[in-house]
Amino acid sequence: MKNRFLSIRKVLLHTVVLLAMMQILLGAAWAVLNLGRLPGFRETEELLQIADTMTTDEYVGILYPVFIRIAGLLEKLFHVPYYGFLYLLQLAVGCYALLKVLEGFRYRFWMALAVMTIPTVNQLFLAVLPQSLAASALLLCLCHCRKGDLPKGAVCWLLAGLLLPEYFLFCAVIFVVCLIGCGLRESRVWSRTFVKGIIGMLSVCLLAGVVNGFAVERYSRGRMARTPEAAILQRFVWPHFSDTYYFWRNEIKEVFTEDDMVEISRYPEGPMYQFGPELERVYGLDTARDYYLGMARITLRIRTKEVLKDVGRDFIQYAFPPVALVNNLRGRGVSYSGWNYGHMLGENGKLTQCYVFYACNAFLAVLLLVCCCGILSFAAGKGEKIGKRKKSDSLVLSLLLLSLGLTLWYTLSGAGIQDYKNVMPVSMAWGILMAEPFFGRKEGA
Amino acid sequence: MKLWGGLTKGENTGLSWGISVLLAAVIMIVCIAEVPVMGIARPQEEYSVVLLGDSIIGNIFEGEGIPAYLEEQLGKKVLGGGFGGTSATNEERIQQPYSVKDQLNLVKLSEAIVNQDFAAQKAQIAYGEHYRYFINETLEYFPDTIRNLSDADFDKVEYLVIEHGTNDYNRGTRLDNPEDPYDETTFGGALRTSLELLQNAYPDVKIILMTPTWCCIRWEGITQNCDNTDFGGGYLEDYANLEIEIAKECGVYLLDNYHDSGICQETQDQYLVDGLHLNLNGEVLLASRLADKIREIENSRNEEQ
Repeated sequence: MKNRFLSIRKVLLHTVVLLAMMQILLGAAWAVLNLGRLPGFRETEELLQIADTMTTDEYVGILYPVFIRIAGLLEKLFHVPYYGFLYLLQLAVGCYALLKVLEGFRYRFWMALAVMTIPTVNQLFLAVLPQSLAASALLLCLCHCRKGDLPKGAVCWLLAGLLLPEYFLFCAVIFVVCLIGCGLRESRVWSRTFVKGIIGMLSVCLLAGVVNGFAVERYSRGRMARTPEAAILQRFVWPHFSDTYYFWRNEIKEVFTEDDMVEISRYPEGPMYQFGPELERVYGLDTARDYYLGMARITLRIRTKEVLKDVGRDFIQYAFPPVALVNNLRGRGVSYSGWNYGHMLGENGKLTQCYVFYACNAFLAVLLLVCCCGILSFAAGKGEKIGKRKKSDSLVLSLLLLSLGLTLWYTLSGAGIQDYKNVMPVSMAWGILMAEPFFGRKEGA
Repeated sequence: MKLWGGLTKGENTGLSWGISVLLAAVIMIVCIAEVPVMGIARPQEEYSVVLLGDSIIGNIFEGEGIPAYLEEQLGKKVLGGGFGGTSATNEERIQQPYSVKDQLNLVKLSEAIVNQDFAAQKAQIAYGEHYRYFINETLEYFPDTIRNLSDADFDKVEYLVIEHGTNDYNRGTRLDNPEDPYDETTFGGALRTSLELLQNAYPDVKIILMTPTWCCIRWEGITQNCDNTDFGGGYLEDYANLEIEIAKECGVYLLDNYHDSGICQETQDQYLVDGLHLNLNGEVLLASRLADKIREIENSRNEEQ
């Protein structure tokens, strides 16, 4: 009986390999055909503007515009489009990061390719956007910190934070948890590793503070200040600015008429670009933050069902990006996927269509196969073997917690702006997690 | 290679791989089944005539809509693929991720028809429908229309009618780019690009360009006539005249509603609801003109044969 289970498991494993191979082929073909193309994301336009002025706000990191500038200089030297250099950098760093995370795994090169060719990942390697470099830095930070190499982890933390400001917090959590873990493991508070970690942490905070002190200027891009209350406003109040107008404080009504609120409700970025900056200008940031919380409480009280439904839907879409993408493309769900997919099409519409639908559907198929394999392994009594693979278990746990953290963060960042580009590490984590049961580290690795 | 070596250890490996290949093939077919280009899930609905355009085609105010009247007159199956508020031009620079209409312009729809891929449009309409009360970019019929377009078998379509211009005019879209005749951000470039795509993909389809009808824009008590108001790109007649030129250039048929339909300032109350959209008489008029044009084309083709 046990052998039968193991034979079936082997068949499923081979099937997963074949499905992954097809994805790698399609993904590689798509990547080659799109190496020379610059997708017209509006974020790219903003980054180019920041590269000119070298001034940003709390929403966009300064490091990627620096890379754009360097790529621009290389373009003048070598007469190759600047984005070519960025794509090569992103692909190389992404590949390196995945190989590092997958150290000790069997067939890690193929696994890395399989992860890189997930459509919601692949697209971002070939776009002038900071997400791929930031995701790579985040994974490297996780990898180095888990191994106890805290100085390298600190460097990756700094880079990730300067690419995407919110990654500063994600990496900080990883770093601090691993630092505490090091301290406990070594049983001495002031062990060398622990001291290096503290120095690394302080250096990162200092350097980030200095760099951002020069480069970051609040309101320079016309956006409201980035505060937890601003996120709560965008998440829980939009789009109900107009239909809940009656309940707003008089101070808010003095600044915004009902027609103004109708206009703000028309765009998910209405709070960020229209409502917030004006309210903060009139009443100051501290008072505005209080007002945001008040508005959120009122909206949650009056529009509880609508708001919670939207939050739940966004959470699921962020948690399973490839599945959500294909669902959105069928006309279900609410997200920016249509816009992102439109940017992916380019000149090779038919290949893109086959690739995206195949890969996203196959993602779900592989997930189901992995679950079946897990059940079969357990039924075949491989439980004792799984228990010995402790290092793989901690990687799995780290990736799951990281994915949960990212999903929660972006879910609570705003309504009507669900965008799979934000959760590239979640897509990558899923790729690794699904391959881990088959190709995870051998015992003792 | 190591991969193959590692996996081929053990007994019955050939059988194991054989079953895996079969299972993988089945899963791959299932994964790709919904992609029309693979020939597995091909569109099924057969229409003789497909109309693309804006609210003149899409919106119904009083009657049953141009597609219904045309179907009645011709006795052929007609699909109305108009989306209110859309234009021909593909204004890439102003595309926003929450904008539905950016995916419904003529260029994007033509690409979708050629690739048989309406996924981007479906996703955007789903977004717009969820926030319809607030964002106000979709109309009730948008989901059904896009579904009908994606189900249509364009290989079987005989006539493709394109009606655009009014929204390009009132948005002040640039008429043409002398340096780049295929500049999609201009009205002329968008038309040429779309026509080229459609003609290359479906060489047997007979394309009819319909110029926009006369209109006046009424807004907050002010009335602006199309023959004396320039919103930045020219008068509406300029757009109509450019369409006439492009029809000759690209070798497609033309139905000139602007000059020949009889809808003008003097007759606007007879044919228009609000100075812009067609009432029952206007729908019947345009449907009749289009039916006559199609019959004319068929007769001339019969004579040629």
